[in-house]
Amino acid sequence: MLEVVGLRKSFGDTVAVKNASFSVEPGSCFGLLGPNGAGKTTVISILTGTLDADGGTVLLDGELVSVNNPAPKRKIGYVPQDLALYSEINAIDNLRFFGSLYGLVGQHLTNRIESCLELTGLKDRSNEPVANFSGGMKRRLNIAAALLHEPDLVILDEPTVGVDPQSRNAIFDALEVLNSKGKTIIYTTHYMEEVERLCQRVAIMDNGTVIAQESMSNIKRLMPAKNEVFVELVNPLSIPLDPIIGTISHHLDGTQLTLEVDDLTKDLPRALASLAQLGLQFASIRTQESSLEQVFLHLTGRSLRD
Amino acid sequence: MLNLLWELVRKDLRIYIADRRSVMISFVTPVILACFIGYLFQNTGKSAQASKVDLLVVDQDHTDLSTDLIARLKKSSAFNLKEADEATAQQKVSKGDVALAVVVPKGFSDKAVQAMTEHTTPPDFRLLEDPSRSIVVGMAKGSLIRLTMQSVTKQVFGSSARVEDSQLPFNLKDETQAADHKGDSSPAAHAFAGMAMQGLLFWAIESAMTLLRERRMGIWRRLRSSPVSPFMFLLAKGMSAAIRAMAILCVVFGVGMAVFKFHIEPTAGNYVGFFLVAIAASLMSATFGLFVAALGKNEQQSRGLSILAVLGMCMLGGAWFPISLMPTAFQMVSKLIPIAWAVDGFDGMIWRGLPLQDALVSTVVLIGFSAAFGTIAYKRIQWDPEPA
Repeated sequence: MLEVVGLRKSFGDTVAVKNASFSVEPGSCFGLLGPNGAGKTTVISILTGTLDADGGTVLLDGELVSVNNPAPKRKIGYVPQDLALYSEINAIDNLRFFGSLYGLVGQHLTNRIESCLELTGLKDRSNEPVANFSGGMKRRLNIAAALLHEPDLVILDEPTVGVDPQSRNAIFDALEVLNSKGKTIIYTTHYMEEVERLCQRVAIMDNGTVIAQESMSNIKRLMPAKNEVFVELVNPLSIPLDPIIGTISHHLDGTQLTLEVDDLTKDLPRALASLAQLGLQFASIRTQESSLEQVFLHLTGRSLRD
Repeated sequence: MLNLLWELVRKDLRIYIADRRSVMISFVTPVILACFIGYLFQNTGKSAQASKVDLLVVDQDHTDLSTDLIARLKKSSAFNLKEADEATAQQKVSKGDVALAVVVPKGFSDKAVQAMTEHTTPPDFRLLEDPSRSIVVGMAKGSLIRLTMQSVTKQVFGSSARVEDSQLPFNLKDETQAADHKGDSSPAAHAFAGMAMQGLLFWAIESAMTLLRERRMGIWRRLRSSPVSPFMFLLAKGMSAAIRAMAILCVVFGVGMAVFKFHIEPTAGNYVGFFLVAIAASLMSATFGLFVAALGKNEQQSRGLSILAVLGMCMLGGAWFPISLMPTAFQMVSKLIPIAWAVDGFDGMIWRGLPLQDALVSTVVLIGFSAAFGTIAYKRIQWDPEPA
């Protein structure tokens, strides 16, 4: 569907994208992650044909995406990070305008407007000026404007920034419906849980470079093989613990004992047995899988929201 | 293609109409300014002709000639005459209470008669003037010289000379070269043309600010992701702005014609000429807005610079007062100002009643300015988003 190879883009002396390559399969939902300044928005601008790269290529179904090539733009629905709406006029007039940009006219346009308003849950407010809308409603209308022409590829640049939980759920529901209908989605966000819920594949960008791209199940394997076990003790320990058999390390904070083990199946029973031999009583035991946030921190050395 | 263009234009018109207050301001402001200036110009001209000039006379000669002169001045319809001593006259002129005082010095009568009969050096006839009222003083001087000549002539040739007002050897016949043959409405018509153009250019600045705001809000980036070309976007912006400008012109001139009773000369050529100039002026103001947006980096900077530019163009282009009142060098510069051509075109079709060819010249020049502004805007406009 989409092949991105060796993208480079500079603004004066500032290198925004050094070397970005990734591919997106048709019908998939692809997450593009990166902290502020990683170059995500520049990559998105190149993918949507609003900006030409200094080097590298973007091919959409074999067609070169560029500023002056309108053909692939017809297949792309772009939801920008900014609210690209005219607040003075109502939702229908906004959608009529954006639909006309893609050649939609007459009854077909009217039908598409109704369909998109329904999908985004805005039908009952469609005649109100957008200025009266909440932030979440504007975000949803921003998405509706990108879906009018039934694009094969929908690119969303942080579409849930500043959105209330109700609107966020409505957005997720709409995207899941789209994805189930075979639309390809590229999604950038700061929120790991959104990527974990929506995306099948993910690419992580840092300093203008794609440093990893994997399926969601594989990306967590990029973390070193270690697991955390949280043991709640019945009584606090008054003396420090010696190294515990089967663990890489441990940390004691009152009754909360955190163990780091390589292999849950082999090492955890040995560790718990050695703790029991010390006469410790357990109130609860739980384990935690590596999160995407931890993977990101491990790969980039900084938090996604930095 | 046309459907797309219409949708782009329609969206801009809908946004414009949605802000009722802004619509009112864009129509009412030039109307109010034009009414005020039109009223001012029209009545200044009438009052300068109709009302009498206050004149002080200081008679230091006390002869038959000076007595005859004072009698003639009192009788004249041009003056409100009062006699005073020199100190009082100087003080009243200095304070601006009167525009003009005349001092008839001692020995004036004898020296004036000698100068006329024996060609000796003529005596001084002192005029004390208020420099701030040069137009009134200039008009008064004409009447004063004529009446003084009558008194001196009577003194030389006696009463048999019959030099009364009605016996001048010629008649001055005023023939105002205006379409209404009176010129009563021409100052107002000129004011409406000037203020309408000023209103259009200030409104064009607001349009440019809207464009820059849209860029800042990321709307341009969104539009560029669509398959529509930048040229089409600019064309639609220009067309919608021109339609709005045309509406403003129609309303402003409509009010002017209703209130000040000026009209387009009722010939087909003049109507065609007026609308050609109006269309060209609308295009010029629309492309001027695009030009400002293209050169502007941000709203604050562009607004300040463009207001300065528009004020300069209004001043040099004759929007505030006729170009003929300006020094020659400035009159030359005005040829480079689009407003001057628009105002000249409107004046030609309304109160001057000139033929269609006159409007065609203005129209062609204004379209030339539009093409230049539009081309620069297309070449220079910064579509690319800022670095992320």
